[in-house]
Amino acid sequence: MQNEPIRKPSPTKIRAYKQAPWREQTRLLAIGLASVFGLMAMLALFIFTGAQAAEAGLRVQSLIRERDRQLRRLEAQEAELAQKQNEEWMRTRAAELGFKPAEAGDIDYLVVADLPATVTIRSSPTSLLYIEQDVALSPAYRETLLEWVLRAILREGGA
Amino acid sequence: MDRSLHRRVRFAQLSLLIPLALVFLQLSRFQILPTEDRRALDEAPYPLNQHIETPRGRIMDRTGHLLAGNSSQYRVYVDNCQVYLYREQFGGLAGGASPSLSDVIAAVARASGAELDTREVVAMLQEVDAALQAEYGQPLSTCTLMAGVRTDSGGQKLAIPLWLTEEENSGLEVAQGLRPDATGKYHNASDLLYNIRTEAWFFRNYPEGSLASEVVGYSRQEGLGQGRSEEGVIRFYREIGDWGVERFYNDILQGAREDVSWTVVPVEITSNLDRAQPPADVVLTIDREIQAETEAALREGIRAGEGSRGSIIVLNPQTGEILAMADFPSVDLQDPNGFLDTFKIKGRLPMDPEGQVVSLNVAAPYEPGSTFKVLTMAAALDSGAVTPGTWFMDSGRIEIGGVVIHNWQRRGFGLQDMTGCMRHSINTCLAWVATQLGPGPFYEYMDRFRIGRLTGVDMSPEVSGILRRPGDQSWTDSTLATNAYGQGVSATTLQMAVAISAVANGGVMMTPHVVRQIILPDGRVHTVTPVPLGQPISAATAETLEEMLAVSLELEGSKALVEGYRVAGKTGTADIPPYVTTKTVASFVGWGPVDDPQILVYIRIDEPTADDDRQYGSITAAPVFARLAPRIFALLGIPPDSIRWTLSPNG
Repeated sequence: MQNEPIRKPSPTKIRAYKQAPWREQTRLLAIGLASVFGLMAMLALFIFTGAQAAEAGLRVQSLIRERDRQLRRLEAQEAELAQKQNEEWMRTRAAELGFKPAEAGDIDYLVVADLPATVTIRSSPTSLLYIEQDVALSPAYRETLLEWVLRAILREGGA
Repeated sequence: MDRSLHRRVRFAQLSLLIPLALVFLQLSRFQILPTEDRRALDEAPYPLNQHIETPRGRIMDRTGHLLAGNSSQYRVYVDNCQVYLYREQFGGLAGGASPSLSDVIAAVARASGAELDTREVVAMLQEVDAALQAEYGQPLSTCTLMAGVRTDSGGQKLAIPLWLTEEENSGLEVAQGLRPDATGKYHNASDLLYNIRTEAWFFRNYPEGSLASEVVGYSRQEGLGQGRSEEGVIRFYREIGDWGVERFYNDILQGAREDVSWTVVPVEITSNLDRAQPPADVVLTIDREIQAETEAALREGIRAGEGSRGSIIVLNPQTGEILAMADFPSVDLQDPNGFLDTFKIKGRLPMDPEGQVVSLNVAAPYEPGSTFKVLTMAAALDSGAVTPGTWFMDSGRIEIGGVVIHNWQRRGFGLQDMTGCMRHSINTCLAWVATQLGPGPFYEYMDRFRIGRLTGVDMSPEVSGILRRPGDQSWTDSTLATNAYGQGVSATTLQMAVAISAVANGGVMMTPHVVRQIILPDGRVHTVTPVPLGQPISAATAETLEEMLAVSLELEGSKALVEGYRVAGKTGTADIPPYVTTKTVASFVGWGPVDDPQILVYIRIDEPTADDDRQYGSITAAPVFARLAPRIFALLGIPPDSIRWTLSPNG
């Protein structure tokens, strides 16, 4: 094996080092510190993202509790309303107001073409719980970085 | 240092300081200035599992009125109960730093406003704890709070469950710092309530009380029971239908209660919640107004006849839709304590005085008596064994298979054609008609009418009557004769109504049903399509018999006739097995308008008084039809015949 000839630093460099020997150390220190702070910046980003996700999770929990509460309120109020409008109550109230059931002779009949159906069934409060497939979370929220990169490559390749 | 170096150093400083500042800010925001949600989480016990519950599906009438809904109540638990029990026994630290169970329960009472007998509740929990330790060596870890203790007739102490209302629970959660008060402010969480946990439960609510209770049914709490593990999620089914639609459609109405892991990772939360699919709602064929009219008519009929119980079915013979189904006495679904007494009245029979029946229309077969003659005559006409013009000489008695058959009041009606036989409801004539038909074809026709078989109605539990056939141990030749006029055979009022609906609907029986639509959680609506159950007789036979029955009522001047509408029908008066009393069951089946039947009404009144001949169907049940039918016609918008023919496009 043949040794490489040692290249001699330029006279300018030698002079500069002689005049300020701390320069090289400062540079090394700066590089070290930059690495540490770079790492810290990444960690900060990680904490920031993690905290945001956790906070979003808490918010979701809170919203779920609220949804549950509202669902229960809706169900209860619907039942209460139905109770206050039940057949017996309506009949009694109608009688109090002077109404009476119509007899056959009291009614006038006429033909109405294409009479639209008047029955409308209210949608159930339970439909609040139904989660549409369309609003499912994007895969970006579930995959790893590697998976994302692979997906991006495949997408690009496929395009 | 030159300017360029100075700039570079500044840049490096900023690059390093900004991330640091961001870290500091985020940590400060998270730790020093937490959001309301985080603060609540810090101060409240953090559960590892969360109960997710979906309410039971709603039941509505055909016009969307709610017949069964849900409301919520809350159970209260004390976690780490052993610590509080220990302090209760041996005392805690001074200054209230270590609260005892009494302190905790008193705090719950204060915060919620619920009435609690603290001393009794603590004593009961201590008793339970001691019993658990003695029997299983396990202390009580979670205490379920109770409202108090009562002593039953046997001297045994029973816990009265504590259920908080929405308002009471709200007060408790505000005191726990879990939710803001009315002004939107969060309170400091009370230390006493740190281990208090509430759990919401849905409860069935029946806003119409007893209306259509026979059809709607009842859903009861089944207790916690054993959870079923599905894909790692423990699922509890807590309610089960006892009868009616609640029971038949239990699987699709049933709400689920699930324990899911409670995490702050949003993706995991939503994926867990996806499991809690809500149940479906059902819309009944029952019309609330027609049901109420039917129940009122039944009550009035039973009162007038001094009967013990009774039932009415109103169905559309063209679709099989049951528009109303009433029985008396009926249970009040808001008062479960009265159920058993009502069921006993419905089920009491001479040979089974302690029997219980939940539904007189679908679960209580009876010997129908003369309404059954419609089926005998239909079979005979359809087979050609007789025609409407066939004559029968009635002497008031006929001997078949060694048994002498008599008419009601042992009268003889002389020479009669088949319309006369139906008009006077002559037992001897129908027994003779059955012998003309012969046992083979007779029972074959009864099979086609599904006598002795379930109708398949979507209500539970349906009970079939009994039809003995040749070859059965107790069948004799005389059985054919008695069966011909509806004795010695049993059927429910629903089976009878469905069988006779073939005569009203051109020979076709439609499958009876009480559910019209099923509304899926995503809003899709599944509408039930009417399905024919069978065609026991031809359309021509049905038309002939229908005309005979309409004429019978008109010639008789029946109390069932309805002004303005042509109707057909048949009365029935049946003896009650074991035939030791003079009690009867009075019935009437009628339908109309005859040229386009929209409703068929079957009325049954048990044990009417014999005073003023009220034991007969023609006296007790027929007038109920005359009172009820025009009300239903009005509610359905069916004009009197003369007006209808004018309005009709062909009129």
